[in-house]
Amino acid sequence: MSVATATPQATSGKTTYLNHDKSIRSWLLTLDHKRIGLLYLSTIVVVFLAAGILALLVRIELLAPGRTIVDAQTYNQFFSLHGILMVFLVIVPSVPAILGNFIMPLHIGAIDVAFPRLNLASYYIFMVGGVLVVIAMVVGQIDTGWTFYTPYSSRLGAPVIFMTLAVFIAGFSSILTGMNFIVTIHKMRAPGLTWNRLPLFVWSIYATSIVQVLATPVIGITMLLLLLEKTLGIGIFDPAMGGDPILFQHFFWFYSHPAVYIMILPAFGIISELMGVFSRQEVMGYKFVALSSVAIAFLGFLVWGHHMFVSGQSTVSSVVFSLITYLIGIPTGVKVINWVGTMYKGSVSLKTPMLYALSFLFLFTIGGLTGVMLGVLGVDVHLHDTYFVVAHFHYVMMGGTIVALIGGLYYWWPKITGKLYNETLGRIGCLLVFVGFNTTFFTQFVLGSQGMPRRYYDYAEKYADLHALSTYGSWILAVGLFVALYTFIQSLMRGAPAPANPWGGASLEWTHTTSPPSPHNFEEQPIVTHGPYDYHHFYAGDGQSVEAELASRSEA
Amino acid sequence: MAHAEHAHHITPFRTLLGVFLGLVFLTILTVTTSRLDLGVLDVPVALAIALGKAALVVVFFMALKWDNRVNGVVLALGVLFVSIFLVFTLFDTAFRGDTSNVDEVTIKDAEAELAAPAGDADHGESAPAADH
Repeated sequence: MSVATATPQATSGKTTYLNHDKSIRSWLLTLDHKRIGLLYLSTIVVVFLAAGILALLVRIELLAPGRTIVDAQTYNQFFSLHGILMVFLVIVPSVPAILGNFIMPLHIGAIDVAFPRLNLASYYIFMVGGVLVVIAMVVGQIDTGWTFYTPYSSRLGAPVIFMTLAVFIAGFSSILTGMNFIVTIHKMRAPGLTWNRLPLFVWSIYATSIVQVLATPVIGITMLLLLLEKTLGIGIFDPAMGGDPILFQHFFWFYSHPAVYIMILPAFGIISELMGVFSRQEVMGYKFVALSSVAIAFLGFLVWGHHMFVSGQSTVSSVVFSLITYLIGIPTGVKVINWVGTMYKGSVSLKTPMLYALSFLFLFTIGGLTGVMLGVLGVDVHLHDTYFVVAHFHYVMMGGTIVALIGGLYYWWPKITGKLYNETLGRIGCLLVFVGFNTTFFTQFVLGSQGMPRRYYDYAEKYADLHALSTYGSWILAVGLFVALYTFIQSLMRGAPAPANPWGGASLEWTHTTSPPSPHNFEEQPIVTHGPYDYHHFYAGDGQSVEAELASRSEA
Repeated sequence: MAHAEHAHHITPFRTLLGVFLGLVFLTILTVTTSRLDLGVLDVPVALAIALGKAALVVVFFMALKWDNRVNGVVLALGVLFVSIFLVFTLFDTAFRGDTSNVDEVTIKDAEAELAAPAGDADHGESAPAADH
C-alpha cells in the first residue's frame, strides 16, 4: 500500500521532467502538463514585465500635473495597453494556466490532464492571441482602455479589430483549458480521493473552470459583434447606426465580471493551501471554503450590472444588481473568516509563502470591502470612474491574485525546480511589495474619494502630492517585484537541492513525488486514505515544533 | 469500461416519425401565429414555439434522452445562463425610459438651479446618464 510516508527523496541522478529530454523541440511540442505550465509561466512573466513597465510609465507621467514624459495620446495608449495585457494575457490565464497546469494533476494523483494535446493547443492558441496584441500595438493606436466601450471603440480602425480578435482567440484558450480541467478533475482522481478529500486549490480550479467555460464564449460573441459592426456596418452597439451602446456594456460585463472571479478564485485556492501548511492545521470549515468557491462562481454571474449604475441603465436594473452584489460578500466573508480561523492556535510559520498569504489577507480584505462600498447605489454615483475604483480593482487583482500567485510560486518553487530559494531575499521582496503596493494604491483611495477621475492625463494642483506619493510607491513595488524575480533566478543558478517535501505538506504532490517530479509524476499509483490537510497523519507525536521540523527537513 | 455503456441508442422509427410530425405541426403554428396580431405576446409566443422545436430536436433527434445525464445537465446549465443574461438585460431595456422616480426626488440645490433663468432645461431629464 502506498500510503505516504513523507520521506524526503534524493533526486540527484534521477530522471525528472526537466532532464529526461533537454532539446528545445521537446519543450515546444511537449504534452507534459508540467512543462506546459512552465511554458505559460515564461510567457506570462514576459507579458507581466511589459505591462508592468507600462504601468510605471503611466505613474511617472502622473508624477506632476501637466506633461511629464509623454503627450496625452501616448498616455491613453499606455494605460489601455497596460490594462489589456494585464487582464487578458496575465491575470486571467495566470494561476489556472501556470499553477493549475503544473499542480492540479499532481494534487489529484493523475499522470497528466485528461487531454494533453488539447492542453498544448491551448497554449499555442493563447500565443496567437498574444501575437495579435503585438500586431495591434504595431498597427496603430489603441486608446480605448481595456473595456473597449462603444461607440468609441467601434469607430476606431484596424488596431481595435486586431485587439478584439486577440481577446476572442485568447478566450478560446481559456475555454479549452477550463474544459480540460473539468474532465480531469471528474475522471482522473486517484483511488480514495473523494470530493471531500480534494485539496482546496483543486476545488477553486474546478469552480474557475466552470466559469471559464460558461462565461468566456460571451466575450467571444461580444468581440465578434463588435467586429461585424465595424467591418459590415451593422448597427449593434453604435447609436449612429441604430445600435445600443449600453447593450455592449451588458455583453462585456456579463463576461468580465465573472472573469474577475476567474482571476481571483484560483488565488483563493492558493491561499487555502498556504494557510493550512504554514499553520500546520486542517483548514477550518473545509466544506464551507470549498462550496463558497462554487457559490461565488454562480453569484458572479448575477451582478454584472453594478459596473453600469451610471451608464443610463434602468433604475430597476440598478437596484436588482446592487442587492445581489451584497450577496457576494457572504461566501467571500466565509473564506476570510475560515483562513483567519485556520491560523488560530496553529503553529504559524512565517516563511515567504505565508508572508504573501498574510499580505493577501490584508490587501484582499480591503479590496473586497471597498467592492461592497461600490455596490451601494448612492455611493457608487460619487465614486464611479474615480481613482477609488482603480484602487479597489488593484487591491483585488494585484493585491489579491498577483500576490497569491507569487506566494504560490514560492511555495511550489522547490517542487517545480527542485531548488530551494534564499528565504531572507524572499522575505525582503515580500516586505517591499507590501509597502510599495499600499503606498501606490491606498493613496488612490484617498484621491478617488476626493474626486480625482480615473484615466485623466492631467489633474488639479490639489491632487499633486498624493499622485507623487502614489508614483513613489510604484517604484518601491517595482523594486520588490524585481527582488522576487532575482530570488527565483538566483535559486535556479545557485539554489540548494530541495527535498521532496520541504514544507511538510500532506497533499500528494509533496508526499508522493520527488522534487522535481518524474516525467510521469508518480512512481506508483497513489492511494489516498486521508484529507489534504491531515498533518497529524504524518507528523503527530514527534514532539517537534513546525520550525524545528522544517529546519530538520532543510538539513536533510 | 463496458462497451455497452457507450453503445449508440437506436431510436424507433415510430418515435422519429412522431417527432417529425410534431416539428411540422409547430412550423405550421409558427407561420399561422406570425399572421396574427398578438400584441405584446408576439415575440414570447414565437420564442416558445421555437423553444419547443429545439427541445424536440435535442431530446429525440440528438438522443439526449438516452444519453449520459451529465450532458443534459451541461445543456440545462447553458440554457440557464443564457436565460439569466436575457432576463437581467431585460430588467434594463424594458424599463430604460422609466425615470419618473428621478423627477419625484427633491433636491434643494437642483431646484434652485432649475429656477435660475440660465438653467439647463434638459438637465433633470438626463440626470441619471450624465456621466456618459
